[in-house]
Amino acid sequence: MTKDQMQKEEENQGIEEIRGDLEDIKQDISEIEKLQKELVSQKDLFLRVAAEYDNYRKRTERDKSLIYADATANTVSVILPIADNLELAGKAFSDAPSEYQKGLELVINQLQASFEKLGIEAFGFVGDHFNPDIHNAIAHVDDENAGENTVVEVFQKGYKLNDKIIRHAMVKVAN
Amino acid sequence: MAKTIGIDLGTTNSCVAVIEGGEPVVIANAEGARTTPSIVAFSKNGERLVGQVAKRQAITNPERTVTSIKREMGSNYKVKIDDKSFSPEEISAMILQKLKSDAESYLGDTVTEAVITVPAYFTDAQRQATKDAGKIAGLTVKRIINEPTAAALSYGIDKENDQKVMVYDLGGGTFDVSIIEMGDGVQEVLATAGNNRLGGDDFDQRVIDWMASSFKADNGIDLKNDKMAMQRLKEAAEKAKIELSGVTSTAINLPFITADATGPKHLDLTLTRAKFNELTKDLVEKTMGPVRQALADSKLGINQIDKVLMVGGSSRIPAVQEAVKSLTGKDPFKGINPDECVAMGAALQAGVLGGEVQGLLLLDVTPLSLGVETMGGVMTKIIDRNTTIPTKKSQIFSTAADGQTQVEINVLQGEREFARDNKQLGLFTLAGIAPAMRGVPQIEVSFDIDANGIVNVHAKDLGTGKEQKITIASSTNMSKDEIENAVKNAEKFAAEDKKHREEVDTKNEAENLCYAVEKLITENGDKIDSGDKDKLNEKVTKLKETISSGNIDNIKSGTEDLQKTMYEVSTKLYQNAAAQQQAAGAAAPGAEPNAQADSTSDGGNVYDADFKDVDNK
Repeated sequence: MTKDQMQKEEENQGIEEIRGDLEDIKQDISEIEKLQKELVSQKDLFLRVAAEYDNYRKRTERDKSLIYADATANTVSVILPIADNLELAGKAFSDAPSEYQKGLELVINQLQASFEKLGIEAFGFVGDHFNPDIHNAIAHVDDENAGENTVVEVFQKGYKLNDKIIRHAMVKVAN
Repeated sequence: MAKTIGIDLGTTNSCVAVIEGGEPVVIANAEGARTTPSIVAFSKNGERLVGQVAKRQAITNPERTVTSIKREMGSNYKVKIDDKSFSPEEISAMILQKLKSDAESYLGDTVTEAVITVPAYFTDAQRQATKDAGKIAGLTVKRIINEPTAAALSYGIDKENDQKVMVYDLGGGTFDVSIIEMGDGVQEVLATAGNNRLGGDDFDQRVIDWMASSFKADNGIDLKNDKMAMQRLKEAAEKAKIELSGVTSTAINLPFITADATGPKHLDLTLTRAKFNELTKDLVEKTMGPVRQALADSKLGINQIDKVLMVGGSSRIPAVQEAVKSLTGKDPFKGINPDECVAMGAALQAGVLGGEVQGLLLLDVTPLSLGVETMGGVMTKIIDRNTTIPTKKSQIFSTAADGQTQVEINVLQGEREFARDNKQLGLFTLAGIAPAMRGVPQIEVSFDIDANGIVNVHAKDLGTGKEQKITIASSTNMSKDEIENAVKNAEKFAAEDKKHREEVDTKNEAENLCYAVEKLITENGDKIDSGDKDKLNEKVTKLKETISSGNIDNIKSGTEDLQKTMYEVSTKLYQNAAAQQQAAGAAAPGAEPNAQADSTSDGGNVYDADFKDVDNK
């Protein structure tokens, strides 16, 4: 082997080595890229979970503060039909002896007082301006004597606890 | 991080859901209801009302109230309000906007993307109209999916093998039946049929009619012209219908429903399920025609249907389920709220498209409780079953005998009260504990489960810093059956285990008391008079004998007796000590002569979670 050939051989070897190194570097880079991608997706996942958890926490707090009102409203809503029927009974008793009327009236007042103690307020009166946020219209009449969109008859009173509507007032609306 | 919501845009009611923690959750609207009536109204002063509020004013404003707009989707129909006209897409968009804003207030974030469901029979034009409605509402509709497909998704059928599913959807005002094929990447509608004027409201009407005619027969009064009475009947009918899905008979009680010259009249009826079925028999039968039609169109035999899903509120009616069952020969799938399962399926699809389901479904739970064995062979749970992993919990334990220098940590998995009834995952010993009185050394045992279910149990003597650990890789390798068995057994043996557990606790308590008394005598022997000392010693010996005899009631009474005597003696002890101090004039102001004494008498109470004494084994 001549000197030239030897030199060339060495050069070739050198190039091979560099090629090998380059291959390694390429692999490292793709590995890094893969890891970077994974990191980004993991970060994304983490952020999602963290955000969701944060919102969940806030909502749970809010929900918790509403539990008492919800439970009261649920309980009262079961009793409301009895309150309605007592009132209907009161109206039906108008011919009954006064002691009977009085007795029933006392029972009705007692129930209303209990509702008040719980913070329950009745609403829905003849003459109210009809508002579907609080009134549930089940009948409609044209009546020249009544104003536009006015409640002319209340079939069932509505009840609310603070701003929470337990039951909408069932009404007849004019015009 | 904006989420994609799933919307069931229905003819009578709509529902919205979203993926949270990998599970679909139905979002309640601002009024607290989980479904929203698909009703839009324009009040006289031009205000736009959507949902329940629109429904409440409908009767006062019928010409400006729009219902069932879904029936017009994709057509040239226009809703005229004053001089403006609205397309069905625009009206639907108003409903979608309401659902969107309810979702936003629930999530605390803006929502811009959605998956919306449509009936399987919707044409391309109708689907496009639905998509456009979403766009008008400010939502990018990532996908329109079929309602039956969404229902199947909510039941997880897409994760099972390829199968043919019948979806029976009886809503408030429409009935649809679809036969779909679903499985590994396949979603195909094979046939649909239905009746778009049949639903739960028809069932209510039958009950109302029955009540009114029964009342007329009894009292000769027709309630049909009395708006208030009819409203009460309507509410009572719906309530009765719902109750009859759970019980076989319900009382309908409407006092003072009306009055005549003879006085007030009451409606008091009992509706049995049998009567209800009789009243609604033809309605149920009316749904069977489309079922047969769909089967014929799909060219499938009844045996080729793998599953039957029930969707829509009225699919809860037992007679409906029975009819479906007798026609198909299959128990219909239930379990997910039929009013909500379409929206939940849409949310699942939205979650997949938004990339959430994939990532979050990885969250796993420990199928069974993990713990260690403590004194008396008791399993003390450290991580309860169904805890989401990864998680880490630790608890401090102590020794059970004086001078005990090592503890054995028996790692257990299961729901039973005793170690021997649970599965042993591993066993290791922590040695080199500094010899001390029982109950003094503090040994922290911590369980750490990583996301892959690998459990690391680590025990550390907080006094000497000596530690030891074990890694268990197989804690989640149990089959579903094994897990169910373990849970079932725990329920089965709960009473027995509890009794046994009480016995062990009683014995442990008695032993600890004997120990505490002996300690009291050793430490204060010179201050206790010999009569008391003899009495205590005698009772301790007797209690120890009783313990080995094993009679629980005797052990309990012996323990109480010894405790009483010990309190008497120790009270005397403190009184003497106080008297002496006073006599010596040494009672420093502010000093607490009882402090030391208290801790002595309470010393015996620090034994709740002692390890069993391995040295004496």
